[in-house]
Amino acid sequence: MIKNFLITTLLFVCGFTLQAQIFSSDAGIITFYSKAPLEDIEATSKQARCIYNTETGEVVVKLKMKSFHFSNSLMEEHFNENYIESEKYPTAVYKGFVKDSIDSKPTEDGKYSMLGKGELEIRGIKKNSFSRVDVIRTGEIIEVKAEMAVKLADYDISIPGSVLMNISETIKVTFEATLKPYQKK
Amino acid sequence: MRRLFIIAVSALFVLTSLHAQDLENLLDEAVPTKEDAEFAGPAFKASRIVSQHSIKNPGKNELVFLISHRFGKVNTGIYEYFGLDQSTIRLGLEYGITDRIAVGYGRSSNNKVYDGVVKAAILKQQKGVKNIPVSVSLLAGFSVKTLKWADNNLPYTFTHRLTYVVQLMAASRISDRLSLQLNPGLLHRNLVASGSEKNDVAYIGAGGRFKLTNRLSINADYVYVIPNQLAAVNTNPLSVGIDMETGGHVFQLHFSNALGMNERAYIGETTGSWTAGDIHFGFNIIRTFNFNK
Repeated sequence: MIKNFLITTLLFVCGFTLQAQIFSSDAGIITFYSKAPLEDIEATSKQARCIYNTETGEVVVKLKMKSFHFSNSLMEEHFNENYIESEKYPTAVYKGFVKDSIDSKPTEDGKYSMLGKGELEIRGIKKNSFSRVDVIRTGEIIEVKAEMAVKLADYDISIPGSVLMNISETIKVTFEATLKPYQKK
Repeated sequence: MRRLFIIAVSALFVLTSLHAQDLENLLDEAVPTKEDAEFAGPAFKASRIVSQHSIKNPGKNELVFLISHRFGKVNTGIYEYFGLDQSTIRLGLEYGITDRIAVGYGRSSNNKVYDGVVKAAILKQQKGVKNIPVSVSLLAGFSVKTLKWADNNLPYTFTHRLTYVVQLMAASRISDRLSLQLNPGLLHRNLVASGSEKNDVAYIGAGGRFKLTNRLSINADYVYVIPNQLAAVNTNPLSVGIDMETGGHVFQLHFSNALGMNERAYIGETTGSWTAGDIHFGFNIIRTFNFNK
């Protein structure tokens, strides 16, 4: 009887402590860079929402495409109207797993160099995506820095002939966020 | 009993642990997008619908160069090359001082009119923190006709050359493809041609655009001038055309019964009639230069 009770309690408690492994942020910074012969373009969003389970390595990141800001407002307009079609496809989603070769989990303080493998969805198109991810844990704060390459053609983004020398076919995307323990509402 | 117990405990374990699918749900539940205004995309691609001003301002530190052509009437036939032989031009510049305030300047060859305008964006269509379904702007301008007086013996003064306009513009990007705009306004002419005309002319302009592709749209605008203000020969201007956007340029090709390309002209001086073939072909090239770092 008592043994059963203890096992039940233990399993019950396990379920709840898993929550201490979920971290999130609503202010992730995503920047993309395009380097082309005639022009360098970059834009930043500071509104990426992300969630990370340090136990399983699972990551979900969501971003509103309209939250990217350019120093050139006409370029921002063309980005939303012509390239991304943000009215039709307002959100980009990344779902993946962050792991290293020995399957370390960032449950203790330290720096972990990992690889991200997952699926990135832009304009309703999902493609496999690989990224380099650095995870630095200090107590209950987790800093994540990641980098990936996005090929525009993969997401049906075509570059008109007149700007072939202004827009790179492959864009570098960086992600930076400081995650804190997830709080249920 | 024991089996039931194991099933019950496993079920409890499953319910309290957090699964792959749940992670996205957790994100959506408790990590909402930061409270921010999400502005609607621009209702129009350029600062003109066809003849009338659109709600669009140049961005901060953006300079817009407008080259507008309007030709003669199509019904002048092949000898006048359907009006193309008689071309009039307006050269204009518009500049965004801030994101919401722009100034404009232009000169039309027809009657040698200089015009100046200020466009101020008061409300911007948005959702998110606030839900505002329309963008509202205010336009105020004046123009000077520098054409020499026909009869120099009459006691003309400089102020006789001036007109003023004030216009409220309300536009909504109703869907991704469709935008509509209303422009109620008042045109004031210091000097009118005859006693039957009023100096103050109240009007309601309306216009819209429908996107065919991301870069191509059909635009149209019309001004309803309140009756009994202008001369009997004056008609309301209706303009229809297409917009093509390519990188930093917007090309507009259109037809209109109005020859004028500034407010004093197309609102107060239009005499053409579509049904009589008094149709002017025109095209605008609008180029944006950006001076932000």
